[in-house]
Amino acid sequence: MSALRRRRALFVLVVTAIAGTAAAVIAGVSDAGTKVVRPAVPELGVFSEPADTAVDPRLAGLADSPRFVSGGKSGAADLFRLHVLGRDLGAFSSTLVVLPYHEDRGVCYALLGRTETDPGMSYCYLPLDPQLPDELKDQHFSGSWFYTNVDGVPRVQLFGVAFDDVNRLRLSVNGSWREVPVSRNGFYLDLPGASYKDSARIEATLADGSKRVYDFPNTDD
Amino acid sequence: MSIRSTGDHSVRRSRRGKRLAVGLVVLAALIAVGAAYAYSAYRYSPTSQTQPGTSYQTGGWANRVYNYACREVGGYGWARARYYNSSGNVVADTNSQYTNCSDGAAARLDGNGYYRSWCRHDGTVAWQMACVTTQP
Repeated sequence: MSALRRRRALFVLVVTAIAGTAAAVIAGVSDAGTKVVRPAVPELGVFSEPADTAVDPRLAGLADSPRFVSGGKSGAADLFRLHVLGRDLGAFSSTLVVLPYHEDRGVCYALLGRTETDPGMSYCYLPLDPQLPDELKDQHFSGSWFYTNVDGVPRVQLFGVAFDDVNRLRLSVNGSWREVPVSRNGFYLDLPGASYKDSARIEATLADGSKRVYDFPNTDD
Repeated sequence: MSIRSTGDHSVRRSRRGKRLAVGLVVLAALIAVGAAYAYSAYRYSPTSQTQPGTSYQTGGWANRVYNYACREVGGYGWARARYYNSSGNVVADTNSQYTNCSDGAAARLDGNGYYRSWCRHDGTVAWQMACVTTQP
């Protein structure tokens, strides 16, 4: 092969490689109008699915609020990889969403009211952080006990996320057990009449048959 | 020729329509985000270490967009956020959450309303707590 042919062959190879890379990048970004889905927190299978929504205005302040006080670690929630786990939930027709956080080491989940005046709550955490205390370590789920008293009607909305290997979730309120439905790593239960003073325990049964328990610290006013 | 020409126009109109729709959606999102940020966030807890069980609250009631609490320095700690209405009743409560401002783990309430914001250090040792809320 002459020097000229070798140069031509090299040129074609380089151009093909660049074009291939560009095509892969473009295809990834344009897929469903979102970025390529990276496996954020592999234990939550829903993150392997394409994101549901771009930006929900009700989440506008979520990404920045903790950074307001921390001075700006790279901890913003990725609003473009939001996943809706449930819609039209409970008394406020709430939406349960989950999104990756803190460079994919963390998870934010939020219960968004239908309107801006409906109550909502969000929580972010690092599920696999080795520094978690004993009561949270290796728990395979995270739940929030969200109390509201709107128009004189007290209630608790239990909501959160559960790992793929959670086969069953149930809740005990003041000693009475009930099932908590889990769907696509999310769970929600509306408890009219419940209070932040109630004694509540949540129990997860994992695929290997083992159990994880968490007692909500509902102790005082 | 005329049919072809009409087709081109309709394609152009369709494209214009799509661009306009996308533009409107983006504009609506920006307006909504702007409206959320029209409220200024402010801190109502001190920037010094506080003891377990210490609570803080805003000086009065105002229209809030959010209220959150978290341990600010030295790792994680249990914290809680609440809203009170003007009758002094608890209208929303996060319960105790394991928080760390630096990791973005905060107990946070959302939802516009005329509330007093409140937070509490629910840990077992002294640390610095950040409680942040909004008002117009």
